[in-house]
Formats: sequence, structure tokens, C-alpha cells
Amino acid sequence: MSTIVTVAAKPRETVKNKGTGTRVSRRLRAAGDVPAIIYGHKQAPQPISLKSDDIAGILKRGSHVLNLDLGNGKSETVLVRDLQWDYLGREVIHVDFFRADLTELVESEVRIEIRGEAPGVNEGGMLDVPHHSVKVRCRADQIPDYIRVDVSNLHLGQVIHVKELQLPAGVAAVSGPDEIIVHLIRPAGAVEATEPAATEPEVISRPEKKAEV
Amino acid sequence: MPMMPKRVKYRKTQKGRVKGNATRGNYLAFGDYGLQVLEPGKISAQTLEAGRIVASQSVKGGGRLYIRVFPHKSVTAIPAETRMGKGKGEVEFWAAVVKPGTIIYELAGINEDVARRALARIAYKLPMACRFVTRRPTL
Repeated sequence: MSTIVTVAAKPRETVKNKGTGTRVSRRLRAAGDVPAIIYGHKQAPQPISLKSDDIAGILKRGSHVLNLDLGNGKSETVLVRDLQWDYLGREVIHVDFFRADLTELVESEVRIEIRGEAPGVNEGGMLDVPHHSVKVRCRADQIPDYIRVDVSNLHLGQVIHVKELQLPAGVAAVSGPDEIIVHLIRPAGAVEATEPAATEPEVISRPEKKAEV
Repeated sequence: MPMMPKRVKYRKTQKGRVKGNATRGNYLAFGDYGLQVLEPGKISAQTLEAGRIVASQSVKGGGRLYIRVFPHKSVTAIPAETRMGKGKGEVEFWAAVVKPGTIIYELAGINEDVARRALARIAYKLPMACRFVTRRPTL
């Protein structure tokens, strides 16, 4: 089950070019902070900023629910709704937080953790994981950090579907029950180099206009 | 056979410049490990094919390789010792235009050491700097 971590956050002014906007965000990132926003529950959105080290910690732990300490005795319980990465995927550049009531039902993506050695791999198979996360519905305080999938009994040709996942009590899968999580397939095999054939793409030509009489 | 489009509207295209960073195709969508381009440029269909073959040899038939880019752009050339003028040259090869951040190959179903070795062998054949990437954490 997800542990609720308390993270310090600084509220920003809601005025453009003072607390929000591209230049302000860039300045924050240069200072080692990450701009973020809290929204939801029909309250006004609140722009905030967090330390990038704290974000790294959240990602490492896989925490879905956080308690944001906004200073002056104010705090918000939030869900991580969206993460924006830089173009190389190295750093988080913005985070969306959704105000959460711990007792309400929420939908969230939970990552799949593969455990064990599949015997089918020794039979010449390949472990294929088409989905690396599953969408679940549960109470905000019951979101699991990950869902463990044991593949130690998986032989060649066998499949684990969403409906076969062992979910914690109070957690239901939203993803289709027949969606494949893991399957052991036979790899396509080595690819041979082929001689290049001199072919050209077909050029799409406009249909000729009929001559007017 | 190197990859090329099946049908095109125009056989020859203008050269163009590669500007900006990748905003699409810059994360691992299928595999567990990938090769990310760090510089802008063009990768010819022949190079992509060479990468595919070298990766296949490296993983010895195991795993699955995904090629995330396609050579959509034709590159023309004028033959040597030809006087200037007389129009645009003939299509020499087809190339994929890549921006920094683009994932070009992805590998799945193998362990990290094998993937690193396979992707390093591909990177050696590519005309630009690349880096090995793993999946971003999801929340």
C-alpha cells in the first residue's frame, strides 16, 4: 500500500510573470526547483514549487499520494496526476497534483513489477511485457506502489491477463480483464542480411482533368 | 532491403534544416531499453538496416527489436564530374530525420547487459551521439 510522504512545497503567486509563466518556471528550474500545480475539488488552482531532490525521492519510492506542506500550518493531501519530462527524459520539469480525499475512490496507474525466473525462457521463449502498468480504482490511501507479477510458473505460450492479477483488498482493475500483462512467446529469430533490390516508391499522381468541351 | 516509403506524393524533397528537440517519440513506448539520439541529423535507411542486423546478431535471435523511426525523406545527389545546372539530382537514398531526444531503437525481452552491448554496437554505426536509456518511472 502506498505510504503517504510529507514533502515541503512553496506556494507561488497566481499572477502571471510574478508567480507563473515560462520565465518564472525557467528561473525556478535553474535554482533547482520544479514548478507544480495543485488543482481539483472545485477549489482554485494553486501554483507551487518543490525541490527537485524531493521529486526524485517520490519517483524512487513510487508514492502516489503525498502530503504537501505549504508552510504557515497549511497542508494539502494530493495525488500525483501527471509528470512532464524534459526532451531527453532526464529531469522532471513540471508536476500536476490533484487534491485528494483519502476516502474517495480514485483511478490511478500502478506499475507492474515482474518477479521470478520464467522456466519458459530456458525453453527458448521470450518474456514479453506489453503493458508496464495497470489502471486501478481504489481509495486514495489504498493505492499500491506496485503490483507484483510472479512469472516463476510461466511456460512457453502461457499468458498472464489482468483478470489473473493478485490485487490487494479494496483494489479493482479498470483495465480490460483480457488485457495481456505478460506472455512468453517464441522470438522471431535472427535476421539475415538481404541484398538490396533497386525499387522506387510509387509516385501518387493527380488524376488528369477531363478536357472541357 | 533498406526501408523506404511505398507511395509518395513527390519523389524529391527540399533539403531543410533540423531544428529543435524531439517532442514526440522521445520516450520508450514498447521495449525496456532504448537508444536515444542526442544530436540532430539524418539516418539513412541503410544505416538503420545495418543497426537492425547488428542488434539481431548481438542478441543471438533472442529479444525483440523495435525501430521507432522511418526513412520518409529522400536525399538527392548530383553525380561526380557533372556541370552545375540541369536540374536536381537523382534520389540517392532515403533517410529518417531525427531531433535530439528521439528514440530510434528499442529492445525488449533481454537483460540489461545484453541490451547495453547490442545498443552500443548500433551506436557505433550511427552518424551522431546517442545514449542508452531505460524506462521512465511512472506514477
